[in-house]
Amino acid sequence: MKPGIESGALKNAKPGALAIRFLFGGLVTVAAGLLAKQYGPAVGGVALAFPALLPAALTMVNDDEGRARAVEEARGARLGALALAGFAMTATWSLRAGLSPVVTLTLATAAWLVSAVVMWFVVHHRDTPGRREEAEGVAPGDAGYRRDAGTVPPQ
Amino acid sequence: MGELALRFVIGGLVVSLFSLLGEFVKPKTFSGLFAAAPSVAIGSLALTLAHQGPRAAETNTQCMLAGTAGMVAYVVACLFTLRRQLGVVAATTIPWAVWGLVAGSVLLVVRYSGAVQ
Repeated sequence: MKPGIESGALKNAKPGALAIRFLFGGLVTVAAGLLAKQYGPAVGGVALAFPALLPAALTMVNDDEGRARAVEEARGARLGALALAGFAMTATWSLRAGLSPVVTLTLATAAWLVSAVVMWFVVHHRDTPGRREEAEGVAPGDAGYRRDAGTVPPQ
Repeated sequence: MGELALRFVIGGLVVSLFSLLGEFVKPKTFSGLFAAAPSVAIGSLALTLAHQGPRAAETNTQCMLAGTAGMVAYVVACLFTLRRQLGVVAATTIPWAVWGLVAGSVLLVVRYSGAVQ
């Protein structure tokens, strides 16, 4: 399966959901700053990898599209989370090299994106809907269950 | 107060941006990548660099690796609660507890080993 653009995304976008994510993201970033102020930059650094978007995203997907879809989203998020190490290491290297803040943040974000996408292609590029759900153990009657689960022809 | 308000706006904007990116791509495993994007890190690091300088930011990024371990554990815990179809309270509290436990433990190990001051 190749990544692509979700054609109906703009039409289905919910302003309320986006507002919740804005609110939660803002609050978590403020909390990270307060932690750093109170306990020093080491604790503040841990808070940089705080799950800001994930809880809301998984809850909404679970409620709107079913558990199987939420499991899929979480499987992708696992790789995105691993790629945060690429962000942290690149930012550390860039700061030690004396690069500017803009370059540091750009390089670190690019490192996250590249490592996340490469890992996704390695892990998920052969995914098919039936195989995914079979692997996740989604049972008949579960939200998101597909009748063709487990009937994927061998490659 | 002004800095907190700025943090709130920048953090909210970056999280919303990654959220929108995730909405516009498919399949779900690919959009899931953006749910674990460094959204808090980008906003917070930018402000730390502006107000406290590169030294504090470097400590931040080194210790972010502990948070990363916690984040990976958080997602694994989310997968566990989703597969087991646990109730709302368990599905919410277990991942957060796992994040705190793993991130805190790794931070303690890193600090006591002397790798970060």
